[in-house]
Amino acid sequence: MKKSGFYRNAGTFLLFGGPSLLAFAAVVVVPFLVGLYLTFTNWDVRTADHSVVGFANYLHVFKDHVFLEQLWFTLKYVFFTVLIANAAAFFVALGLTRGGKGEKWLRTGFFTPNLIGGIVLGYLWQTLFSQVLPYLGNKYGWPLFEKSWLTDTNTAFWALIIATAWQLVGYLMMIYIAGFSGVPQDVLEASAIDGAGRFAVIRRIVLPLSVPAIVICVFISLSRSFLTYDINLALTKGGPFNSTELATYHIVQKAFLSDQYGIGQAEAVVLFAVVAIIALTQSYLLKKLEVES
Amino acid sequence: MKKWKGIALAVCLTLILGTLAACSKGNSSSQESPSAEPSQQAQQTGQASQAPQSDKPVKISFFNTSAEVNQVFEDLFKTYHELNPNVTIELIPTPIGGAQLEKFQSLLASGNPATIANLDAGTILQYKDKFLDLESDKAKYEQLTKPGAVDAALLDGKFLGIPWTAQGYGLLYNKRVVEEAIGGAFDPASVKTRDDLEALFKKIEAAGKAPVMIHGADWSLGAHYLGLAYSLQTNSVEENRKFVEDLKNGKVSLLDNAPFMGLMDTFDLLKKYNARKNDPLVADYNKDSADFAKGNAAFYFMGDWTWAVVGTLEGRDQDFGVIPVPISNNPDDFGNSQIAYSEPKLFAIDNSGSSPEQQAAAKAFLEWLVTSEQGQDAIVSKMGLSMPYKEVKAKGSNVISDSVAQFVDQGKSINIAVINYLPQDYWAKTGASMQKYLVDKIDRKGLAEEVENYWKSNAGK
Amino acid sequence: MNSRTLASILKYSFMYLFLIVFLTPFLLIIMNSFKKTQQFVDNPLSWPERFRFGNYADAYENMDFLHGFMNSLIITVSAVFLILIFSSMTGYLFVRFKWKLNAVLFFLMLASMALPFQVLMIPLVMLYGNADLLNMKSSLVFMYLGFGVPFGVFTFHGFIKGVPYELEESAFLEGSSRPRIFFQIVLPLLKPVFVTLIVLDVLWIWNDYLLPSLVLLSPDQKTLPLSTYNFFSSYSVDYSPLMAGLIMTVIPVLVLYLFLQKQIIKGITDGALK
Repeated sequence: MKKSGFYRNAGTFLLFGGPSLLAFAAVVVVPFLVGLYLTFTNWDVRTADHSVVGFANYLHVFKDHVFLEQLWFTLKYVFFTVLIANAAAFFVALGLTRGGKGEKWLRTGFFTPNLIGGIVLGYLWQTLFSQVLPYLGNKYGWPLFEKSWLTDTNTAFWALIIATAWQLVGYLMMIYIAGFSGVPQDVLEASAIDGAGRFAVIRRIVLPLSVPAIVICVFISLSRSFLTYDINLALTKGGPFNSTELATYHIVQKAFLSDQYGIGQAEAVVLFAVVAIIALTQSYLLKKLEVES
Repeated sequence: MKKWKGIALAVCLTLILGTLAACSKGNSSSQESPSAEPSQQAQQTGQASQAPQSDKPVKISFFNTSAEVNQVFEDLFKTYHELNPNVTIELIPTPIGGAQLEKFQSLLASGNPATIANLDAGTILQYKDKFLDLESDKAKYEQLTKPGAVDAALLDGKFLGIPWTAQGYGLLYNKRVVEEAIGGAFDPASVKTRDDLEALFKKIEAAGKAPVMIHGADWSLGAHYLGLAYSLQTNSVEENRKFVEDLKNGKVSLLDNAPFMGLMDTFDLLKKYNARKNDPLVADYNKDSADFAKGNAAFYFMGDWTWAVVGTLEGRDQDFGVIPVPISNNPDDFGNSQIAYSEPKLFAIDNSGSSPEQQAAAKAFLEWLVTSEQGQDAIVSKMGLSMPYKEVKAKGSNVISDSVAQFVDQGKSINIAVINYLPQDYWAKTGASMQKYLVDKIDRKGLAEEVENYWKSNAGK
Repeated sequence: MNSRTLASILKYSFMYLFLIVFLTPFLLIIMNSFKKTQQFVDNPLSWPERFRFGNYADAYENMDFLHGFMNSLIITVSAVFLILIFSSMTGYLFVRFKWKLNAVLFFLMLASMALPFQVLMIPLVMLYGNADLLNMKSSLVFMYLGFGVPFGVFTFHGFIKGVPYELEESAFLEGSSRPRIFFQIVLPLLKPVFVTLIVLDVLWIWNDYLLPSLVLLSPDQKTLPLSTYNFFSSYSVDYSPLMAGLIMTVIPVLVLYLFLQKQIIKGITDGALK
């Protein structure tokens, strides 16, 4: 009896999990293990030859002050991006849960930025920040926009956040809307329209009921903003003077431009560990919240 | 519970074993191919160069880092295919900037290298083991090209890449604006020193025009401007390479180095009269080039390649030229009357995964490209580039490269080939330091220190 | 009631105002797709002197649009189909069978979503290149399946957890097999998740540049994003045809989104997930 149960379970496992796990293993797990192996070698595409060097590459990573600084820069960037994108998406979604005719266009509108890919999007914002806004700023004397935001480290930092959050908002909004389907319609209406007591409704009813959606959204926005590369490349190119290089951008530069593939790859592994720990911890904590509430 | 643990362990083990197997397989095949092929290829290329076979269909690929002329190359491939129906050439366009190398390396790593690569000379040197040695064709190209063109393309003495374009850079000038400011004809030879330049800038400023435009991108500042410092040391590439080695070993103090200090003194001057003074790092290449061409700035630190933008512009001025960047007040100092000149891109042929037939077809195509009427016409008039070849019938409209050619024909050029031997990230890293200097984030001492530190971190590489 | 209507009007006017600001960059693309690149560089805000549809014709020809469109379509449709089917099944497996192994695998998938693609890039092309599996659409689709499964499983997992087991239990007692229960009872309930994932995965795959650029090497395999890169040069961008090309690339997914949006709303109002 027990044995046949095992075989039936194995059959179910292979049927339901087989194809996706095979693809996952062949495309993600195996290349990752190869990549991990390469961080312990001095592999170089120019020679295609390598020998094992132990932890030398990792030692370099922790001696690379630039990388550590950029990791910190990335953390700050991620924090604000996640915060802004989620807050905006949550409230936009809250306003758009009735599914009326007008809302259809609003939803589409907010989702539109997702229709374009990262590099092109970055170029668009680059033009906006370095040409359009200074043009307006100089014409109407707005001091905030007189200079390009991309030529100063601080403003370029915010430019990166705005561009990323802009795209994320519509994406997250959709998940929040789907998540709100678990919240009774009249509660949603009350929270969206009523002035008094509105925030109490949101805090006591809507928020706890949408914890699953929040978990998903925070997780997605965390991992997506940690791994931002395209927008960084097109918007600031790491400039001014390499001060806005996000971690992934730095890694690509290191591995491919500076010809230090092993170190770049090791940095990527370190980044992966950081992101995985943060993302999984927050999911765990939020889930606990869900259970308790 | 226990059972599942065991299974999990087994799965992990299988995955790891599979990985190792795949990995070792990958290595062996990429190691074998280069060693197995040269012997065959030596025999085959010998035949091929005598009589290009026209029966067997060959497919070759072309990796292009001059992305702005992708379309021109694609048209050329079509033309060539019509003339030689058995040869099909596919373009591998590249993404922007640093991502080009990412793509190039991924092609190599996957064992699918492009047959022909149009690359920076420095990149070819970095990957020299992957490319075909063109020694057997060297004599032929020496015949075809202008004197010195093949020598300038040699990398560590080897002929790995075929030169096809030559570019020069310096201070471009908009003739109309300069002449309106000085109220008469402008003789470019009248600017021999930094003081001459400053006097001219003052006049232009008094006439209400911006004297000069600095393009604030790292490649312009790091590779082209600061790059001059390595080339201006002496007239010899070998000596200049030694200078860079000394930098790496910490034997040079830039603050005591006359060419560096002179160059940076001139940079201070350019900075003072910079049209983009308000926001120097915006660095929009289209806009900067267009503004210069329309007369919003009299001078522009750039090269003749900017014709790709300027040439097609509506409402631009007609007459442009180039003068050297003066680095001192002694007219006889090296660099004050010479233009920086180089063959920045070379065509190299892959030798790591291409078949002898492909290599032969690649050679035949490249020769056609640089010698045929269609090829020359495309390079000279459509791309707006100048070719270092003797018999070029096509006539381009690029007046800036004509101006560069005048310097070169008089032997007044700076050979900047030392940059071919620099690490590939030098322009990005030192360019960032130049950007800091441009916006006064660091002073001269800070700049020298950052640049020296960059070189020291490359010691022994 | 009256104050309610007023509040509602206020809310919507505010939302629309916010939307217009939000979409300014997008409106700029549309406007500038009718101008010449030079006019765009001179003043990105100026109204086009006349509407030049020439950019669209240029982009269409330059990108070999129809060809790229077909390639993108084949790849996107097959990849999204496979991702949805297999990840919903695996999501179900992970929810309903609380084995240790499943928990470990689920954790691995979650963690993999934090993986920078650059870690995998070189090993991936090394392994598949040496096995001669590059330059095939099917390889690319397989890779999308591998990369898309974690997020799919993650999303389905989250929603299947909320589906009461009682529905299945009775069917199970009646002797239905697992696959039958899944396809007949569970799958229909997942419709809203399907729609959401279709939109998200289509967008990702339709717009993806890096992976196809590594896998599809020959020009006749090019997808639309790869073709768009014809307009990028080393130092600058040829904006006008790029923008026209972009709009043409975006329209199919926009239509899809508009079409599916109805389904999302329907799914939500049906309360399938309550």
